[in-house]
Amino acid sequence: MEHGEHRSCAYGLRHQARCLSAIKSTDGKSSFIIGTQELSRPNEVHLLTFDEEVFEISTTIFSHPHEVWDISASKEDPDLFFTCYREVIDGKKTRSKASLWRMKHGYQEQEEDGHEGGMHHHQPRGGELEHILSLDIGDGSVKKVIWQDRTEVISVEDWRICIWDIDIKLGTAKLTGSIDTPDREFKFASAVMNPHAQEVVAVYGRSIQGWNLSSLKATFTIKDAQPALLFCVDYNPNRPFQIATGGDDCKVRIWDVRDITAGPIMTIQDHTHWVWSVAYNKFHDQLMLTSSSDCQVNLQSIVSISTGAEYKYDGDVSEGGQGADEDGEQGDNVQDPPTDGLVQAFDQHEDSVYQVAWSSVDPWLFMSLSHDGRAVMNQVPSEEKFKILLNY
Amino acid sequence: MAAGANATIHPLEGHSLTGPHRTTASGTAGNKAGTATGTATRRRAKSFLRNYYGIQQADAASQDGSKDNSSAPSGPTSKADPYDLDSHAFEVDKYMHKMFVEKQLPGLVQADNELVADIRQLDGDMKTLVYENYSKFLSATDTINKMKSNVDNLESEMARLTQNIGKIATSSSAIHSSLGGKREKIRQLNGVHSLLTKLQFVFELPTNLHQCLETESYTQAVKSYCRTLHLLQHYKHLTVFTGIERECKAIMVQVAQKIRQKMCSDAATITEITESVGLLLALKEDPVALWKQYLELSMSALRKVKTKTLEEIKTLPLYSAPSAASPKSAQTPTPGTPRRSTKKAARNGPNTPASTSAALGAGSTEKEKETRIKSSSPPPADKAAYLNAFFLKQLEAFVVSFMNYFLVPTAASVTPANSNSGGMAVATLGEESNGSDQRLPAWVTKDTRAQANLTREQTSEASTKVKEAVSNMISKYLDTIRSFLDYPNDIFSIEPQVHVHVLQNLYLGTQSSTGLCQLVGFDTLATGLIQNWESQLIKRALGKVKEGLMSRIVQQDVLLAQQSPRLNNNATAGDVSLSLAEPLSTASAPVFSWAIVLKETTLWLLDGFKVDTIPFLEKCMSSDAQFLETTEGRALFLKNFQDEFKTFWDLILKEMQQRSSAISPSSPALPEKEAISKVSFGSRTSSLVMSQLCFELSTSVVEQLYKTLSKTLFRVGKRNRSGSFLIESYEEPPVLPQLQWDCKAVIQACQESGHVLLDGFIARTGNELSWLVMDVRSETDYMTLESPPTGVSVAWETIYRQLNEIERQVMMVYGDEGERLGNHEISSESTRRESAFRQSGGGGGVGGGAGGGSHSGSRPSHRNDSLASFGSNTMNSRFDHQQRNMLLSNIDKLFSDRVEIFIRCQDLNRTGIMFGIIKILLKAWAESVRMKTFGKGGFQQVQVDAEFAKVWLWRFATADERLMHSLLEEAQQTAYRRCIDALPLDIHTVESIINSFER
Repeated sequence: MEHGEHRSCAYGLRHQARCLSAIKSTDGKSSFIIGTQELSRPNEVHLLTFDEEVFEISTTIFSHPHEVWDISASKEDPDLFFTCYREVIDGKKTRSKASLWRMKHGYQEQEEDGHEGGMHHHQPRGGELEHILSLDIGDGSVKKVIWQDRTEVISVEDWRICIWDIDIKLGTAKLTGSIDTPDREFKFASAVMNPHAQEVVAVYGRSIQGWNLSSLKATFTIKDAQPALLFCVDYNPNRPFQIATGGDDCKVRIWDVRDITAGPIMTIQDHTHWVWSVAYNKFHDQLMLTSSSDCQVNLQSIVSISTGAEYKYDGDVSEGGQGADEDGEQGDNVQDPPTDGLVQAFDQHEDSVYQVAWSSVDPWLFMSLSHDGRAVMNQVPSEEKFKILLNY
Repeated sequence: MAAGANATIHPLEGHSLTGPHRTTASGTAGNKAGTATGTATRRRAKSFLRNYYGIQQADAASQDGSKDNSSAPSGPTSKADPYDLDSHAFEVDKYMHKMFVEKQLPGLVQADNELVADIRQLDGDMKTLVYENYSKFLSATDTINKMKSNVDNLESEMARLTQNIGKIATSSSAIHSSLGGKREKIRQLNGVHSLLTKLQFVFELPTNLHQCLETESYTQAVKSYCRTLHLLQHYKHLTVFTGIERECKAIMVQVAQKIRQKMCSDAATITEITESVGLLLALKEDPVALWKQYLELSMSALRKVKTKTLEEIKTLPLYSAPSAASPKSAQTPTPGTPRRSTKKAARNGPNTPASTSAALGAGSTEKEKETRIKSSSPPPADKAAYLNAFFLKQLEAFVVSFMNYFLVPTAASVTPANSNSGGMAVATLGEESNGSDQRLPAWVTKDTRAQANLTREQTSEASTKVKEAVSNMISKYLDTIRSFLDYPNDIFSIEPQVHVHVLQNLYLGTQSSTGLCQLVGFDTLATGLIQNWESQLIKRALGKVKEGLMSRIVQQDVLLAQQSPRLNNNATAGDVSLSLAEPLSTASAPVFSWAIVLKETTLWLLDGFKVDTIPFLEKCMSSDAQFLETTEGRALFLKNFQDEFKTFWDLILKEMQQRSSAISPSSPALPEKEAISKVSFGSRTSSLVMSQLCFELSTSVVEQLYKTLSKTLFRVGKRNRSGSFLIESYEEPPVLPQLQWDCKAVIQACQESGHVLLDGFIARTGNELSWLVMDVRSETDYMTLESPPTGVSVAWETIYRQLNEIERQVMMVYGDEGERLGNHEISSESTRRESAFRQSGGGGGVGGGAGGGSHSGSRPSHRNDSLASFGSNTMNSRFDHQQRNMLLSNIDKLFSDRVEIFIRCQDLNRTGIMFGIIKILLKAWAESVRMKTFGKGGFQQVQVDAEFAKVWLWRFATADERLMHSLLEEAQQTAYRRCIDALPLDIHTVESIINSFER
């Protein structure tokens, strides 16, 4: 699956899926887990490990009792992850649940159905999931579980956000605090942890709001500041106060939460349908991935408002970031500095792409997952990579 | 006889040059004038010359004498012709022989006769010649004799003359020497006399000064004193002079005191102050103290003048018709009060009697004259001119004299020129010249160097101080001028002449105030003010247009909003199917009127420019203002306008976009449907209206406006009075090159904004409808919906109603080109499709290709077909074969183009816009279905809704029905997959449910 000068690697799950999470692996290989979403078929959790040397994805498949709506891997233990799932009770109604699982890698499973040709990945291995604990979810459905650290997680439900103390060894979870949605009209759509402070930022309806985790008080509110319903939010990992949101007006907006009245500091519109996922690169926050139900994954460069801009442009941020030879230390054949704008649009998907995630190991690697169960591993184009490396 | 021949020949000689023998001029001359001595000698001389130069040519002439005129025909050209009588080579024998051979006897006889006659004639000629020459010779002899006797006489006369002259010379020198001594004496005496006069003046000086002091003619006193000062200084060692000097000084101190007093008195005018300062300077007062005092006094005086003037101009009009045109009598009443006061000022001003001092006298008489002139030709009858005349001129005068007194470094060379130029500038005003008498009297500058000898530091200090004070004054003056220029709300109510007149006065003021320009950059300040005025004017004029446009847009929007609920109510109140049955016919009437409304707006805009803005600005430009007269000023004005015009468009477009985005959409899922249609629809349409307006602008209006501008404001060459362009408007000149870029940019911007606004409209409308279908707040529990569903879901009914409403609005604004035709096409297309279905009736309609159009006429049968194709495989089997279907639809997707939902709408008509909305709606539905989990009833509801959409919404999706069907199909399949216990409804059940809606 080569695409031009840069290579990508695709994997078919043969199930519908909408959630994907990067695993903090210890062996230096990029790994992701994907939970499938099939209402009336057995569901699975796929652990994909990418071997860069052979450029192949190897898979371990775990069976999961119910359809997975969201999955989030632990930031510390590569074997731990939460899933948010729904179980059908008596064929009448569904109940939303969130559980912590541990992957137990087991035997080499013989292939069952045989995998379709064309996919270059190792034979799937099997494994078992060990249920560790479940969170006690209220009425609404749980959207998401966010890891704070080993002992604290946050669950995002329809009408509230809960903070839990968990003990993995004992398998217990204790609710320590909750935040109700400030607007009874809209459910929480998504949330993200502020990596710089004890703060959670959530989106609901057309609003964005942050809460301090210890005081449970609102830190900022951007209410109805834009016409779109918001679906996703991400926090700049390197730069405090900067968040990015996406929603049903195809636009990605980047905000500085210190100055709400000024409106978004940047608005990007390269999608032609709703934006479902937005992800900052953890290493180079000038790179941002967005995925959309127009079946595209876009790699954006937002260098002018990134941390890169700070020590490169000395605060004198120019939109285009032009001016190639600002410091001659790179020699004559210095690369042009990266500029704002779409770096590349990846169109290998045939269905809506609900989630995209950067590898937690390789700063240039990411995976996107479309609803038809196709996971595609892509890399930042080497040209852009060199631009960034040579200029910083 | 001989004499007669002579007489006849002579004229011939003169004539001969034009005769047949011109080529041998000398020859012919010779043969004719053979008897004439003059010619003969000439011929001889010529022949000599010819020989000398070795010219052979005319040798033939030597024989000319014997040659006959009549025998010449043989031609002189043949030189060596032996048969030529005139030739050298003439040989008698040959000639004779030839004659004998050629001619008969009678010929020979005749020839002989001719020859004889010729010879005789020649003989006669010769005789005449000889006679003539002889008589001449005689007379010459006589003359010579006479001359001889005369010369003897002359010599004696000359000798006498010489003698006499010698005598005169001696006597004259004698007289000279004898008178020499006396002359010297006279000269000495003369000197003594003048010295004595001077001395007398000096000795009388104290008395004179006293007298001057008494009569208060200080100028005279200072003048006298200054003239004698150097004398007194020179003869200081003589006691007499010391005494006088002392005395004079004492008096002069008094004089100085008096002058000071006069200067400091409250009533002192600026003229007097200046005069006094000049005098004091001449008296070598301390210049530093003097300039300070001068400045202070002048400023207070000027302030007084200013307040007085301001007081006086209150009653004056801003602008009065040119005085030349109006009769005197008519003019008098208006400026009555001020004129009287002017007179008073002129008379009261100089307190001194007019006769006392020469300089002041001259000044005041001049003033009197001026006032008299003024009373005959009225004083400035408007505020600005009055202000200029009574304040600015004074200020200028002060500045000029101050500079002359204190600031000019090398006095002697610069001052006269300066004061001259100042004077000239003042004089050029041609009006009253208050300033002229403020110039230093010539004697002061010339004789006594009235310039203060200030050090460099002192000069700079003085200049900064005076600059400060004067700029203060000037800024106040400019403020006053500015206050004359008011910009009322209705900018077009301004009489441009008034403003232009005021500014014209300002401009003239700068022209005449070189001193002020030099000192404080008055001209740049004034130019700034004028510039500011221009841009204000343009900005306000354009702002007015913009305001009008915006209010029109709001009006239209209100109109549209008013129209919609009425129609909407009609639709909802009556049977829904009624509005469905003939939506086009009900909409057609407002469509027509709406097009007119839009047209009216653009026409209004064009007219607004043609009738108001451009003539207004043109009027401003075409008035006879000098500051606009120069090409520079004109170019500046136009540049100003061009820039402002461009920003005008930018602002309009910006405001439109702001307006459209500022109206935040109402809560996405309002429970009350009517509220949605009223609140959000009314405001939403403004984007629609504005987008159409933008397109309208970009297609014609902007270019038209620029064309109009090209032939009006920006017309090169002579500008005529305004209005002319309206007459010649039939010709469409191209947009001027300097405007072309702007024009293109504006058109592009308009188009862009139009798209942005339209896309905004589509996206907003689509989103609002999507929110209905997405069920944002999860009010419906699809798990527990009853089965089978009783009808189409509320959301879809609402959507259908709103779509009809929106379509109506879109058609009202954008029209539906070939509406009937389109309808017809659609119907024929649907029947075509229908027949296609009939043919493939039994075959399996896989994936989203199956479609159902609907037309009122053929609806029932068609629906059957559609449903038949839908259910060609039984429902269950179709959904069971989902995997295969998925694969097929995936393959389908692979080969079909990527579907872009939120995308620029390219078809600016009903079809394009409605399809844009439908696309957003259906995709949103397909997406939202994925998020839900369905029970049996829920899935069936989706099934019903999808069928409903297929049947009722096809009309909005004529652009790409295939896409619509694939999206609906996808929604159904997803719902099936997300259903716990899927049991698809029977076709007939679905049909009956939808039919129940129709009822």
